[in-house]
Amino acid sequence: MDELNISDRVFEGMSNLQFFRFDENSYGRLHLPQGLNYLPPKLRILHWDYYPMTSLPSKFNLKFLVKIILKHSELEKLWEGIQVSIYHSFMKFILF
Amino acid sequence: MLVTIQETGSSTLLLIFQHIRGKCTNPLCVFFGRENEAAMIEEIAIEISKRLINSSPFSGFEGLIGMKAHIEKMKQLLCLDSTDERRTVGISGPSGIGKSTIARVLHNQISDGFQMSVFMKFKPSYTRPICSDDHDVKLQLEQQFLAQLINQEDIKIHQLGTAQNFVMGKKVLIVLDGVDQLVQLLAMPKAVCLGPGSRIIITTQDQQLLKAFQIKHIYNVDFPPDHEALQIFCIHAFGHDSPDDGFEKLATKVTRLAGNLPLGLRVMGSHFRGMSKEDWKGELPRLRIRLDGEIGSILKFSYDVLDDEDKDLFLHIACFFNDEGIDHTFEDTLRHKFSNVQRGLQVLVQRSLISEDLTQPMHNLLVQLGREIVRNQSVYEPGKRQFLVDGKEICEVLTSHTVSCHLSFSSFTHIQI
Repeated sequence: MDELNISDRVFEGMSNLQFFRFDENSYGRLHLPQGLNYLPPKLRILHWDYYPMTSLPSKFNLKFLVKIILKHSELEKLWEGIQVSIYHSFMKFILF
Repeated sequence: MLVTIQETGSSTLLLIFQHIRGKCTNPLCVFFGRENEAAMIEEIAIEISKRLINSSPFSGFEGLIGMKAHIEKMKQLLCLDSTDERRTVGISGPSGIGKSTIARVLHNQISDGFQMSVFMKFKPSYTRPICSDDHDVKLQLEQQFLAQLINQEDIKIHQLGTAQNFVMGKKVLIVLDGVDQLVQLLAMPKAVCLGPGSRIIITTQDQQLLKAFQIKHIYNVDFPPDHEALQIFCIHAFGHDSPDDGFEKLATKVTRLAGNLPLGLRVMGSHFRGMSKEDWKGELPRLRIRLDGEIGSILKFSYDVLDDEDKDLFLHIACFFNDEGIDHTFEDTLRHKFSNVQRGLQVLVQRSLISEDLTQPMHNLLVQLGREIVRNQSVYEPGKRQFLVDGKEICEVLTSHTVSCHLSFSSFTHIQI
């Protein structure tokens, strides 16, 4: 499995980023040895399988987020292997 | 289906499980209710009906020109009466000729006669990064195979051969659609391990692949003859398989310019739908200049006549949402960018640039066209493109600080691997 180390500030130069998908079929994993400080505020879809952290950045703005999918992530034991979606219109979670 | 409700402090948790062979799987859906119950119940109803709709087979293939003959020839090759045999049949031909459609119609028609059936659509290799590790690729492919087979997204396996063990000895129908690498065939269950009467159908553009896999039964899909080409064109231009009165000569002329590839005929026919005779005549000189007999020129022509907003929607689908699927979150996701997302989708369907089956909306050749257009926005500086789809370029962006710093000044808004 190809592994890619990325910086905790990797997204700081991408403030316009709206859709991000790094799914399990990408045949690779992203590692964050220093953690993650920042996610772009305009993100609408965040799909990051094998997301390596136990939480999302604390300052992350959910305002525009329509869908989060973090399969096989370290986010929460309860959520392991389950797809997570957040609907901003209802602000409730749907996992499937 | 099993539904349980749990109270967790301030919110209600509702879990829906599916039973497969007496075993309870991971929850299919988990709903966190924070607001009123009515809103939650509505959300659940939407979710469940969506799943039911997704599970029913897509049946919009009735009356496809030439399909009856394709299916008859395929059934001969499949030799379904021979119940002790396991047989693999290849379908080969160029992109856009209708291989996947033939395989889908067959799958719909004959899958009832098998214990299990699966339609496995491979992602084309241009959307995948090149990977050196054969083992991981195979594991990934097996996982996708099992996910399709039992219709459950979240499957994790740790050992090669799990998929084969799962179907061993059972009478199965396996369709492998869009094979373009030998490893895809090598990762799938072997025909000899399947139960008697099993059938494997493989669609590919690459005849050599079928030879390398020693497949003896191959159906080469031919271009439709001229009269069928005209019928395909007319179905999309007029809604029936012959020209409207007074349009006979025009339709024949345009069909000749559009060539004999069904995808091109569909797109070209849809372009002329609803046009007056004068408009048809006005279009002809432009077509003569623009079309060179290649499918690429037809598809590009149809893209170019879209208005700016529809072009943008087309690019969004080609670069991101074709893999994502167009689900009920699609409109929410794009509402800020488009004045009317539903109308945009309708335009693309009417122009045959996307299919009505929104789980796999766009044909590979159109996806390639869209990605090429985006690449040409800035060939040498990937960060200036609207979308970034190439795995290698994305890895460069994610690992290089100099590139990503640059991105804040560009229109770069999406990346996808």
